[in-house]
Amino acid sequence: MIRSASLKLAAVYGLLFAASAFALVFFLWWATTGLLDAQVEAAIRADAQGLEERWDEGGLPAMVLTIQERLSENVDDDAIYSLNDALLRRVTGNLERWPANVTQPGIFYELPVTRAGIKSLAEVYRYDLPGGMRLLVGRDVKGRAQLKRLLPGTLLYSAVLVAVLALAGGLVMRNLFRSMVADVSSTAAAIARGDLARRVRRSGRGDEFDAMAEAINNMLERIAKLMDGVRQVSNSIAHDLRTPIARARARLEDAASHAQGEEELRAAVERAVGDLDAVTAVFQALMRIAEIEAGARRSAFAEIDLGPLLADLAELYSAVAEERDLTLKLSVPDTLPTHGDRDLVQQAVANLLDNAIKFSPAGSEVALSAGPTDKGVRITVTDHGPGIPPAELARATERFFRGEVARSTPGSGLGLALVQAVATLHYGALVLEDTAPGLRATLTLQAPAPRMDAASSTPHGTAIATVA
Amino acid sequence: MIRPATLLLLTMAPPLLALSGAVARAEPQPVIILTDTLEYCEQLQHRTQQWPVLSPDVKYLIREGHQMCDHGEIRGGINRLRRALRILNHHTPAP
Repeated sequence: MIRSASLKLAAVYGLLFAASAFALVFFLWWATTGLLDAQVEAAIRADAQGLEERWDEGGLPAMVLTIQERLSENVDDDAIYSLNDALLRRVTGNLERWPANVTQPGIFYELPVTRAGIKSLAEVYRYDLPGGMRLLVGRDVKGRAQLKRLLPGTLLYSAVLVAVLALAGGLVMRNLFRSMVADVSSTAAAIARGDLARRVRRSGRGDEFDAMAEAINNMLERIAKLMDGVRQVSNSIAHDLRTPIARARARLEDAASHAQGEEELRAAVERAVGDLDAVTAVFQALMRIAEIEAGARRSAFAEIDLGPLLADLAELYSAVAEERDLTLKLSVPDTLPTHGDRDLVQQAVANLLDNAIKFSPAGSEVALSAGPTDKGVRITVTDHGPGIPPAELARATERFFRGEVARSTPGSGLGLALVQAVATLHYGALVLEDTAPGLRATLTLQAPAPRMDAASSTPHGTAIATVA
Repeated sequence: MIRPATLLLLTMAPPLLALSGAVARAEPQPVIILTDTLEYCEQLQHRTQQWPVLSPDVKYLIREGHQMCDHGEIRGGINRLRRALRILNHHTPAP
């Protein structure tokens, strides 16, 4: 029970509430009494100054007369005067005796007095006059005395009220905390049992609890998406690799049973090796994408010039394009400096060109262009092939995804996934646009300079698919 | 970080210290004020008699003060006489 977080929260709330309430009461009392004291002290000083002037004008007789006059006109019945000689014998005034605690001039003293049998509190000030005479001037501080009398009772009633309010507030806080934690806890338990669709309820009030619930739900959505991805990749691996492995096995089995000679057997083994090489290539591509997504290769970033790099690629692929009766058009500046991984950028552009050439109809044109942007560089590959249907654009960069059109062509479905990973590694994006007919793939790279790279975080790139 | 209990003690300390400090500085035995007695009331009545001409308001205050002192309402009586003397001192020619 004592370890209950909700109980502790309620107790902390109650204590803070009580502390705040007592602090407020004390501040009000302190400010009020301070004001009253200031008023009393100002009145005493003004009164004493007038009496000293009378002493200067007429000496002791004038002082005695003035004190008696002031006492006779003291309608508020709060004035205190006492004029005593050097032996503290009373000369005039309204104090029965010189108070024992008033020993020093120039200090305000609090003095308990009895007025018509009623105890009260006064504030007095001592002035020393020529000839050893001593003058005491003071005022009753009834207001403060009344406040002091009221304070214990007020504090007691306040304490009871504060305790009740603190208890009620603490219970509300405890229930609120419990309901929130209970919902999160039951959601986590449900997910642990396998109910991955379960989410934390939102109250709809838009408060911090709702914000937390939303953050948790977003996290769960992200986890679910990642798990879906893992499941999908696993399924794809199983599906895509089963065929070449089964084929290789069948060939080897067939060769073992029916091969007529060493040459035939060797040919069957070589074909099986080719099938298994394709499997290995898929795994290598997967591992390469995973390596790129891990971001470790950023440490190898360097200044690269895309101008010559893209020109070399265009030259390499122009031969392939010619074989398929395609025209590869290059529009790249001579120099296009940027920061990044040369091999990965080359691989990404090669993938885009490979796709464009693979899907373009004979006689059409494939264009490779590049240029600087505000934050980096842009590389665009455009073809006039079948493009990607709008419904498939968003999934085109997923691993092993193959659209309706691509199913009939050879490939592993990892090409655009690698381009996407390279874009993300370079803080850029891969934008696919269906130009009907054709596809425009725009790869932006905006890796910051090395000095900034060391200080910055690792923002994620984005893949945007739009329909032109 | 300050613990809640410490915060409560810190909050409560100033009023308690203020109260205890006020008591410690005070005189243990109250000093009696002498201007709330019947003798002082009589002194004030005597002072009012120094003015030969009195306005009706002042006469009323003096009479009422005198009666209250006689009936034991000393502070009320002294208050009336003080009000009368204030009027006499500030609005009436000196005797």
